[in-house]
Amino acid sequence: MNKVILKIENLSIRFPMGGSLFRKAKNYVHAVNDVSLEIAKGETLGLVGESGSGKTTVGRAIVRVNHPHKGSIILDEEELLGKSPKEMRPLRRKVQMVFQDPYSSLDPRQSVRQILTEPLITHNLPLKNSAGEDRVEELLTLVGLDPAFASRYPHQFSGGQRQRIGIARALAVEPELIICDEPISALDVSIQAQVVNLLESLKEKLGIAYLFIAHDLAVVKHISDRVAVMYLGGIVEIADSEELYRNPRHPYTRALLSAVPVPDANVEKLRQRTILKGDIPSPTNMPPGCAFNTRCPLREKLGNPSICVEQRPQLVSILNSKKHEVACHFQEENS
Amino acid sequence: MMSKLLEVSDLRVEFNSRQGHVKAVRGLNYSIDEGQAMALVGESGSGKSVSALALLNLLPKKTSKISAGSIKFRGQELVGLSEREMRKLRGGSIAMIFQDPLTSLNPVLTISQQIVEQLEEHGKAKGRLAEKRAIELLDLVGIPAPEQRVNQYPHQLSGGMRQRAMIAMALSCEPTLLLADEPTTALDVTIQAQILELIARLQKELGMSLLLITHDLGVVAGFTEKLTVMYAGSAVEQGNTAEVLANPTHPYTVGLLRSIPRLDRPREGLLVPIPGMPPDMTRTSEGCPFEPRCDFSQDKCSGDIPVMTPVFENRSAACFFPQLNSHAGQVNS
Repeated sequence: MNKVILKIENLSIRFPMGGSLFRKAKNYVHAVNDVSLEIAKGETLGLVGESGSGKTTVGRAIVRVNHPHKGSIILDEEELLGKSPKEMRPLRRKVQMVFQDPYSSLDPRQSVRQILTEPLITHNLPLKNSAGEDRVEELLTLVGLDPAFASRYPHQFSGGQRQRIGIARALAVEPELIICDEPISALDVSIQAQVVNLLESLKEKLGIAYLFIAHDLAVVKHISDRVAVMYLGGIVEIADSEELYRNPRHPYTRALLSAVPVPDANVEKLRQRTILKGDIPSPTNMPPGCAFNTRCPLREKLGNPSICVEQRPQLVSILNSKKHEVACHFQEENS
Repeated sequence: MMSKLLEVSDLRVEFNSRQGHVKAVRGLNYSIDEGQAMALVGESGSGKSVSALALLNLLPKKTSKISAGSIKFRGQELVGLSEREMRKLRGGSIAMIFQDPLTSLNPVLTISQQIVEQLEEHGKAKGRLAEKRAIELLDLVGIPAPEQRVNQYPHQLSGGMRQRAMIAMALSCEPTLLLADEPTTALDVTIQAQILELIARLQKELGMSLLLITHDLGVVAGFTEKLTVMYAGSAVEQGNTAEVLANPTHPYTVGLLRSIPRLDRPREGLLVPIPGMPPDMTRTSEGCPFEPRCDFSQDKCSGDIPVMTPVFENRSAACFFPQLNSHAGQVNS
């Protein structure tokens, strides 16, 4: 296995509700609970889950936009938590982010050249490459845009082109890891494939690792080497991409996969859908035990065993595969 | 042969914007039978939502107009219908569900007040009786504890619950045609599955016709019988849903199906994207609007605009060179 570029251990992030400068918060939104994961150099880890599952919060913690209250984030053998902004700056060269909305994530008053040179200046990087070529033009070519676009402004581009500029900006400092937070969900269907292919070819060319955060399970399956499924702030299952989709063990993963419609009427007719009841519980008031116990079809089938509400299941490897981990007391039932 | 409930012919809608004159819908034709479910599929800007808003005359009056065409509902012409006549239909025989349940519900009225208003407006029930009916409707769409929920405000409900409330409202006057404009796009997949099953079940139970507008070809597959694919303001392919998905003939439909990764199949190398971008709708093209992005285009395509013509039984496409054996819906060989 390749060198580990990112290692997250027991990460918990909570946001205070109410409270003020003089008064302590009464309650917390438990956005992320006890999450551990690893990404190897040049690997793509997909992070899927529904809105409110904490997937974006994990991504943002890695670039230190929010403040985890427990755990550790180790990037290239250096602990990020507890570092001052000044100490963080050189580390930011190693991890960059691509955002969901290509409209609000680019400054409308900066030209493409300004957008792409800012990270270079911040990190004291040369504006020309070793061959003496302009870096901005090199980056634009790399993401499949005409180098002549450098003098244009974001409003002159379409959504797909803007996302390419956002990707070029992330690539400018030659990072080892890029956090892609729903990078294609704001784009039209026919444009999505273009951006997915671009991300894949960049990985091939430059050996970048991705944390690919998305809710579209088909795209995640396509682009990821491994996939982690989140529910209500915790990882419930993690495995190699093909393995997870072929052999899902956690009842939530199974329900999630069965809920995705497929553009084939014959498949759709024969499908047995597991329809989950109700909504995802509020992260301010976490259910005791397993976070999924309020909606779990497997628990209902087993006659509501009490262990599900008493004990929080830990991620454990399944019998025949070390790399496939599931957090369910009854994961054998789903084999 | 079942009777036609809705017949849209040569519909054209135009907008005046600061960017110029936009021809959003450019001669759209389709029909829906009694009890049939049809999907209207296309990307943003293809005119699918605008054409649905035109059915109920909900387009902004200052900036847009239906410049040509006819919309016949049970033989009655809807284009040019007076506002008073239209109000009787809207929410009555034809109801609509919108994409974003938070902005489409009134935030200062309770769910009960909003349903009761509609029932009273259409003379279906009054006062206590209407309130009771509102509770029954919430129960019908699967909202737990409807007696309490009915007196809550939209912000007190979750996204899935709000969408259910909106469906309850749409169903309140037993419409014969339900227009659903991206009803699940704002929702998570597990909630999407709940809502789609609900719409499908109610459609069968109540014998409604359904016009489902979406960009998700997966959603289309399980829930509709007929499919119309739109590109740049007009229909490019039309036919039986299962058949179109299995064997698309228009190069745009073929490209669309090839470009999406599939959950039901093993991973196969890179995706095959459609090159280029959707056209600028302020311009009109001399030829086929898809020609600049099309893999199969020939000289004729840039000079003439193709119209919908039958390709084989039960299928028509607006293309001079339809792909008869694309099998894009099948596993790529």
